[in-house]
Amino acid sequence: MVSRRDVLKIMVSGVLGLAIGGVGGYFSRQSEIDSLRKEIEDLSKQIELQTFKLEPNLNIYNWTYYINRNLVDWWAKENGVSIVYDTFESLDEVVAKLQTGTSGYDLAVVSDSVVQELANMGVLEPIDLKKIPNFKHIPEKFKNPYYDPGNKYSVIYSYGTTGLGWNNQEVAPEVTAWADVFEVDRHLGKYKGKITMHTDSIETFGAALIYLGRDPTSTKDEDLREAVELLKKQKPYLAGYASTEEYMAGLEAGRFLISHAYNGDIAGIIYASDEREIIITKKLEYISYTVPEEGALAWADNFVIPKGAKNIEAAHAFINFILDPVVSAICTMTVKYPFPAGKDYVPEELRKDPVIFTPEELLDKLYWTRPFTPEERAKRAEYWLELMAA
Amino acid sequence: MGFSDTLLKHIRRNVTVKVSLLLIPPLLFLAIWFYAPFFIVGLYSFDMINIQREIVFKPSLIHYLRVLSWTGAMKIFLRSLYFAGVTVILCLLIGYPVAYYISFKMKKYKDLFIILFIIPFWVSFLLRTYAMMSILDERSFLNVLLTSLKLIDSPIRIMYTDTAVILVMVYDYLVMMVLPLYANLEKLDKTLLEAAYTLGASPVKTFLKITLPLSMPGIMAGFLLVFIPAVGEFVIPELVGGPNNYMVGNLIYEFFMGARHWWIGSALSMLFIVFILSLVITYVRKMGERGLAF
Repeated sequence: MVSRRDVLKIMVSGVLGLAIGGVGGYFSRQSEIDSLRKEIEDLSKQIELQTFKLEPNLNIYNWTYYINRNLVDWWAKENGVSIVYDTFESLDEVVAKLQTGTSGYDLAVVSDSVVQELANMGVLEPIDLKKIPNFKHIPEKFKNPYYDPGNKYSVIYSYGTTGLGWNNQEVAPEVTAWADVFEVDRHLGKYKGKITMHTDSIETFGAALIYLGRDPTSTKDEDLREAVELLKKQKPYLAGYASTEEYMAGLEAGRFLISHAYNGDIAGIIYASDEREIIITKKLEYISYTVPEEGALAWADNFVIPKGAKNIEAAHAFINFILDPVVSAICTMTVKYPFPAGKDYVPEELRKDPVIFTPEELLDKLYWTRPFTPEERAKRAEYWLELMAA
Repeated sequence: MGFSDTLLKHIRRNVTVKVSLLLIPPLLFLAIWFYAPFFIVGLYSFDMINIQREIVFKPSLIHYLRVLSWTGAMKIFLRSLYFAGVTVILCLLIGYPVAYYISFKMKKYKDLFIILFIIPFWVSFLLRTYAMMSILDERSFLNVLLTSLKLIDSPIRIMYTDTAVILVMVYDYLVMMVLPLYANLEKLDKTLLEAAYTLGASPVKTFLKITLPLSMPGIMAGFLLVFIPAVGEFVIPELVGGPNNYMVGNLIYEFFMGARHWWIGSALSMLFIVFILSLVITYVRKMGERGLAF
């Protein structure tokens, strides 16, 4: 059995490994590394690890690079559970598997817009909040969400915004608004062929509709017509409609200067992220992230228990473990996505970085997507294909 | 006498029975894993499965009519035909001389050269595409090399353009053109060429009058093997294409996975399959059965 001290060693060695690796940043001084190490050691002592008598196998399905894997291993060993931890890279993959109702996973993480869809299909098991005492650490505004009233089927995992990531060395003036990427006399014209919009039609239509002052989740023909005309005018100036992988590489290499992107992906470029190390030094200083002033779409990922799960007890226990404020904080420090339960425990630099935690004053400007019916999705896809054909 | 005759017949019949039994596993496999899913796609496309995934016996053409009314879809379809067409022509222009050379001019090491040609295609198609991406990129070693040698002033930008899509498709599908062509040219009766030369035909005339017509089955086979996957390609335009490289495959993917509207996705797939099938049927009609024996 791994003792708590061993886990500390694993985590702390991550920090040290970074220092030895010589990756610069503002923790380059020995005293700062020492204080960070002490901070994490102190934090780790606060983890209240409960162990249970659990069935031996737990299959988890989550996004890639989205958790601290050392903590997962630790929990698994302490509880005598062997975890199969599979990952996916697009929502399409996980929905395709879960909607069969026989995915074989005991726990999955899916985005807000599909929680309701999956629940309506009857492919989710209800979640028993009584078995998740740490649920109390979740701030009120992340409980009882629009897509799952009363948290019957889901518990929030992490959340974020879709805004603009940009190269602060080559782009001037700074990017502040959607207008920058939709108006030719602003950045759009100036950085022709260096700007990308998102490859997901919900995001790109959402951005256009927000810029037009409409409801970003509208499926009205007049709204979508206006949005698609705006996007068609923008298209000749774009480098493309980029997915996570493309814009992360493109921004880092300087091939793209402004990208419509998820905040956490930009955080992943700015900080050197890893699933097994706590790294809170900045690797790249030249990338910034802005939540546009007109507002932005927000998203939330959620734990769900798929139908046919064989180890529902362990799934609840695992959710409870991740919702421990310190575990959440360590996950945030690891992957640079905000885990709401852990906000008070992360270092101030991270807590105040808008690329990780959306600033309080901007929370009012966020729009949530909503689940669409197949017909509504088809209608949007129809406008999307018109844009793709243009 | 009579007895042994019937026994022999019986065994013979039994052998036929045994041989036809051998056909059952592959047919069963196809039935379960290909025809049944295909049938379900058909049900979806005719609106015969409702949102609760139950079968309803009220066939309707609404999804077909809807899809056919989209001018955008037609444009994307024509674009796919264009990309696949350019790909297949380039593959032919590059592949024919290669197959011709290996088959006609090489004395030794023919097999070795064919194997050398095939080896890159043992590597996963995705890996090859990623490898191409690192060459086409603006900051690739190719661009760095060319700029540092002062051969070009500024890096060439190929990624995210039509050129990139076609280049990668040609690269990925070339072997599908060369192999049937090579197989065809190998079988070509070389004494015919000698006869032509003896009778005083020029090399150009010999090629145009004998080699080219006789290699038509190979060309057609290569054409189908390249054109069909190319026209339905969606990974390459997704990875190396820009905003103007959306193809039919991407469209179908979007409706199945993005919009999760399987009904429209199925109607699109069925229309696409009908198109491909009519191509293949025309080909078989024209070439006869020997056309399939490449």
